[in-house]
Amino acid sequence: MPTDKTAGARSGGLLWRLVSVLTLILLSLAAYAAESSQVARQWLTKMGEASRALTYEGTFVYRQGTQLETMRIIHRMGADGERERLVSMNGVAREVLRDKTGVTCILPDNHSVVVDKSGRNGLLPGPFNDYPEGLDDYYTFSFAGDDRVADRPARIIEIKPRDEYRYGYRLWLDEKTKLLLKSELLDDGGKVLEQILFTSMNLPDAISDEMLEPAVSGEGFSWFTSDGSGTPVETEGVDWEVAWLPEGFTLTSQEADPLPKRLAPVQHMLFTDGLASVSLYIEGLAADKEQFEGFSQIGAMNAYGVVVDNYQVTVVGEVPKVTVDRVGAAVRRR
Amino acid sequence: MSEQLREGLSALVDGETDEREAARLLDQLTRDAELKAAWERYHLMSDVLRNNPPLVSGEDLVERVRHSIDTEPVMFRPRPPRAAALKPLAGFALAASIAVVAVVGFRAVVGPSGEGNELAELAADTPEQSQPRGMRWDVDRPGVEERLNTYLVNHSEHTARGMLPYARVVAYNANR
Repeated sequence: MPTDKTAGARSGGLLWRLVSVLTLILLSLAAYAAESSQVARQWLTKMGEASRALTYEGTFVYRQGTQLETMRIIHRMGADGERERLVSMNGVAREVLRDKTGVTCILPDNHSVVVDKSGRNGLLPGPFNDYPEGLDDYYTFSFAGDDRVADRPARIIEIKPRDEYRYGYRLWLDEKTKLLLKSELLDDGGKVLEQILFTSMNLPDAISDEMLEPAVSGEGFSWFTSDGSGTPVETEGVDWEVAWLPEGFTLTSQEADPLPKRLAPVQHMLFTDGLASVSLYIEGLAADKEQFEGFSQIGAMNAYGVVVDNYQVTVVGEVPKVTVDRVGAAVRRR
Repeated sequence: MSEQLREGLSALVDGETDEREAARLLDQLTRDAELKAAWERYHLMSDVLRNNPPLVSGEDLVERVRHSIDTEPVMFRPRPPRAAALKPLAGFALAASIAVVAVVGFRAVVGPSGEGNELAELAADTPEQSQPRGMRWDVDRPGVEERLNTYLVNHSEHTARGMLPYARVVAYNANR
């Protein structure tokens, strides 16, 4: 039956063409998504660079729940390197100052000044600057539209975790400079846990030394200085191990930190997937110290405590509750 | 700008909105230039009223702000440093501020034991409703809170990249 055969061949051809067109569409969609993901990550790298290399000043709101704090940030890249000043605009003028020598926190409500000269944290690369390649396995990166923040055109980048062990982020980057204008930290239900929102962002040609000086001299305050020198611990000497970590988390530092008010240095292990991080603290439990067992939280930061063999084990991190819970439960003495 | 917006913004600054309303107003703040200008004025005025050195230098600016305090509708004037009678819980303000001093991370982190501990004990005795609103570990035991604060700051030192993470430090238990 020639007619049927032709019709069959024709429909077969149509079907084949339809399939190939669909395949093409899917392939190009996948390619587009991959490219978009790559470009989104390039924007994040540029954001890190811009936040260090540019001179800017801006006012932003930090929100956590109904808690609201307005702050001003002043950042200068100049002959004396990078200098930064962060100051609260609500109530007492708490300030954090950073330069290449370290971090200084001025806390007028405590009448204290805290200086950390460890330099460890001095002026590290900006966020998202040195994340590992494998991050794509644990998060998806994409553009999520355009917006205006602080009178500047911005692009939204969405970072979604692929499992329930990490938080997600939504970041608004300035089209022109790639500076961060707004950010949201999200739980797995999409609820905003913490928010930073710039109400103004300026890039003046110059910022005077005066603007980078604290408003409060700190005279008459108690000064606390720590060089923050942690002693690296030989891996062989460590008798603790963590039997479970979310995929992608690796041990990045291990130290015995001489924390104040502790008789012996506290063992500290830091794990990160490149974006999120979890700290594990272990210290001998002195008889007079209160034990901490169970959960606590502050903003998006979760903590889980457990006592193992008369040691206080505490897991702290900007990760969901389930993560600190599972990590804490997996800590064992060798 | 509508009265309702002014009122909303004022409540927002005073931390008297619920979470959804706070989010909505902040969103609006990014879109509404007039609202934003009001917001900035509000903070400048707060600084002047509280005799904090204004962040933007220049005498004439301070004068301008003083002038705007006079001309700004009463509704939108920042409240002067809060008198104790303003809020139902304000009677506990003193106790609360002692708790703030005692338990805020930094003294606990760096201070030798002594005064801080006595204050912490005092804080432990204050009734629960006197606890200040603000960022605090949700535990009611000063010893544990002190331990967690130590860890919080140490963890931030290891992980904070760039200045913005320090927002949490500046916001920690802000005097409310």
